[in-house]
Amino acid sequence: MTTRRTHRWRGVVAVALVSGAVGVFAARPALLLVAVVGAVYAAYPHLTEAPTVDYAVERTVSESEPADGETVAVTVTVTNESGERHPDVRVVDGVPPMLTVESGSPRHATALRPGESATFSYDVRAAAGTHHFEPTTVVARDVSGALEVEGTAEARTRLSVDAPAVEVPLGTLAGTLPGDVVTDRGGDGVEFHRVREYRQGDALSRVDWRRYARSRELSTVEFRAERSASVVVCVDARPRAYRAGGPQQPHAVARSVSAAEALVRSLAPTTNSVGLAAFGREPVWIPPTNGIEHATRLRERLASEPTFSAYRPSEPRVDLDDQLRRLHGAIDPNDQVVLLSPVPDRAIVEAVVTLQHEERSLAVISPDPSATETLGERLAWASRRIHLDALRETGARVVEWGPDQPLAQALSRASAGWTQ
Amino acid sequence: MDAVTFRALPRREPAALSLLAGTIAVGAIANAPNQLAALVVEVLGLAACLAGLGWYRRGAPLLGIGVAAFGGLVALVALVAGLAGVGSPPQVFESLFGMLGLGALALGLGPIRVGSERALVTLGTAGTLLGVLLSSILHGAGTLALLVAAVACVVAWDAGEQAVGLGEQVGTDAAALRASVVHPAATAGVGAVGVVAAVLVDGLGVSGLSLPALLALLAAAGLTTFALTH
Amino acid sequence: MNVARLLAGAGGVVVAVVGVLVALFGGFGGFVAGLVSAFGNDYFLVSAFGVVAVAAAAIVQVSRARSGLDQADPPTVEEVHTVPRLGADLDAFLDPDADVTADPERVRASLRELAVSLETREQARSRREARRRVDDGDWTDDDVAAAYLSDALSMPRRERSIAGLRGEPAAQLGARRAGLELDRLVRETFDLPSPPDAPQGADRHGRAGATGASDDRPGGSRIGPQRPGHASTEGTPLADGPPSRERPGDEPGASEVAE
Repeated sequence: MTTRRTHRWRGVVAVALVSGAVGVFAARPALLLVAVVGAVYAAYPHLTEAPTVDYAVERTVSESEPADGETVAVTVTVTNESGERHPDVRVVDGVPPMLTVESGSPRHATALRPGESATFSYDVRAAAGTHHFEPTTVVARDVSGALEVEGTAEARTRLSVDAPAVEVPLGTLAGTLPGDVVTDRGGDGVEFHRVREYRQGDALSRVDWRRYARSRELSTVEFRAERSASVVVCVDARPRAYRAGGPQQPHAVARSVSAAEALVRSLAPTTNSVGLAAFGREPVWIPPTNGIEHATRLRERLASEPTFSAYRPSEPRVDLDDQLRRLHGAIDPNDQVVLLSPVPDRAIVEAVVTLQHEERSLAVISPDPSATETLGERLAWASRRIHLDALRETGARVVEWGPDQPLAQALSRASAGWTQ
Repeated sequence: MDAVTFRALPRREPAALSLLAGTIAVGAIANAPNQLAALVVEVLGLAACLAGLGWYRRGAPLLGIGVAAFGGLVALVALVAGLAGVGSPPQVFESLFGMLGLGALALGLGPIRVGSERALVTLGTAGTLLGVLLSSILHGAGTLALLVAAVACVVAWDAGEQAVGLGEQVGTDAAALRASVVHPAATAGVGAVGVVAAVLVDGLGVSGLSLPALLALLAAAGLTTFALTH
Repeated sequence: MNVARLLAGAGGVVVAVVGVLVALFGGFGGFVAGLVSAFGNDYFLVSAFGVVAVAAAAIVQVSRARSGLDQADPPTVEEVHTVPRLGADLDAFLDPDADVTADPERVRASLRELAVSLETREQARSRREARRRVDDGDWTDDDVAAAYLSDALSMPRRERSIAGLRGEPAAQLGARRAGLELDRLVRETFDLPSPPDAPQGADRHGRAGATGASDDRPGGSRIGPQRPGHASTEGTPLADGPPSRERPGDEPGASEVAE
């Protein structure tokens, strides 16, 4: 709670002084009486007490899991729990930072008796990702307006816009060891490997009956052995990754976080293991494990960890080398890495090179934050293109993800261009 | 993308109250019927001007500009006519400050220029107050009228600043009726208390005070007022 | 200040009581008569109080004007939390009024990196050779741009003094010229259409004011759809549509000479 003196009544003393002075100069006693009125007004702001901001907030949304682009109605009720009369209270609701208000107003001003409530509502437009409402700002003033107290009230509300399920082409995305096929199902393979002579005990469903029909030879089709993958989803949440291509567009970190959620969600029901890492305010590392519970934990971290916050950090830079070294030390050589980064500088390219080795190639999903209006933007756009090409040259699989493009489309288009 | 943008402009309800109070401040001390008529016409013109500004900002730019210009013209004509109709030059000044002050107040509440709202509101109400003082000096307006006019000046300033402040924190789209009304009403109430106090002091017969007593009371008033500065 | 006010208040109460007593019972007549003769006549004496009052009012107004209102400033929640654009640091470096702070060293490093990369890519050179070319200034005809990005060359004195007279520091001049040169190279390499009011080439005789940064404010000139054509070889899934190859005529660009 912050208490302020607004000083708005500071000049009213002049009313009394000037009226009194003029009354004296012009010998008009009536003006001395006007000065009395002025003096009463001068005393007025000193006679009131600062209000106490003790408010409860209730918030309901018309749909807590809307589709992308859907209009969601938000209704807010604030209740004066301070036990005082508040003749002037102003409320600003905490709209999530990545959402825009479509209609109505998230603000309200009113006067409330003790225990009284006020309700107002507005519409927001849902965007991809998980959005948390911020604390509601409540500003109360005394009746004269000379003292103002600012506080907050909180109602934890969450809007989850789940992007449509993505088909994670793990086989091609995560890079493979020769002879192995990694799928999102795990278990028996589907990819043809060879035909060999039938052995006692082979499953009859695996017999190549066509060949038998042709040549009366029994043979068994063998598929590539499949194994589960261990994938680390790594989010670049450094300050310089917080870039957007236009004023109302979600920035690259928000898009990376929503892509990370989609990847985790897609991999959760499979036998593959998923882990989470991030470069940013605070490095994040959760080693890969499989299972739905673990995936839920990962999504909780993505939704609540400050590193993944939608707000740009105040420090201008983080020590990428140090965080990279820690990740490199913690990660297992068999872990595949999917990096989500807008690739805003060369440092992340070098980080990718560090993480790569013969047994592991990286995939990079890069949300595009660039614009080409101004000189600086064009040069940065060109630098990014060059960095992306450099990434491809290192052998990493690069998925370029345009600003209005669904992630699934970006993934399928990219993987179509890769050779197996 | 049809997102709403936050507009920090003065709110209309307290602005209307402010204009009303300003009109009372100028009207209470008017001493000729044609002054009153000119005042009413000026205020109507100013109100039209403000409405036009509002429409201009809310997506009817042509209509808004037209109405605002028309209203402004009406107000200007009323101002000039009111001044011309007054008798002697000193009385011109008395009406001049009041009506100009109203104009400045309205421009501040428009606002004609974002960033100048509070300055214009203060300037405008200072002008109306000056008009009150001059009307007492120049033609000895009645005590009660002076007191009421002075209170109206302060209420006009208070409601005007409230309009600007509410607009900055809550914007023009949100609902804010109670907050807009309770506050100026309280200020008017304090003014009523002040008037009662002044009448009581008057009843004590201050005019007939001996010089030493007068000086002492003036000194006391000065010291107390200084003590009340922020 | 508070002590003064307290004293004044207390003093005021005391004097008021004295005044009431004097009004009721009289007194102080001789003292006041002396004051009256000191001031000339009683009107002047009383007016002295008025003068003091006006002075006090003026002081109050001045102090009010100097320190403004202090009130809460709630966040603008209606809009998406804004972050800078990619490349905003260079624009900020060239236009110091912007609110993104720019690190001069980083700006130069990233421009140099871009120059080296363009040389490597376009001319199919090795990075080491490209770096040497940038150091020698062979990548461009513009002396100022070359000097800015080079570790060896120094900026031509004449250009630097002209810029200095304009109030532009040498680093900013160098960044601007290098930026323009690189912009030209970038547009050639990637087949970007020229924006309508950018110059078609760097003019090395110091024609100021034609900075892309200051002309192309958001909302100003736009190139059209934001997905320009690209020269990449793989099936990169940039958004829809073929690369836009249109060049909007041969517009010499309205380069204002802001000198």
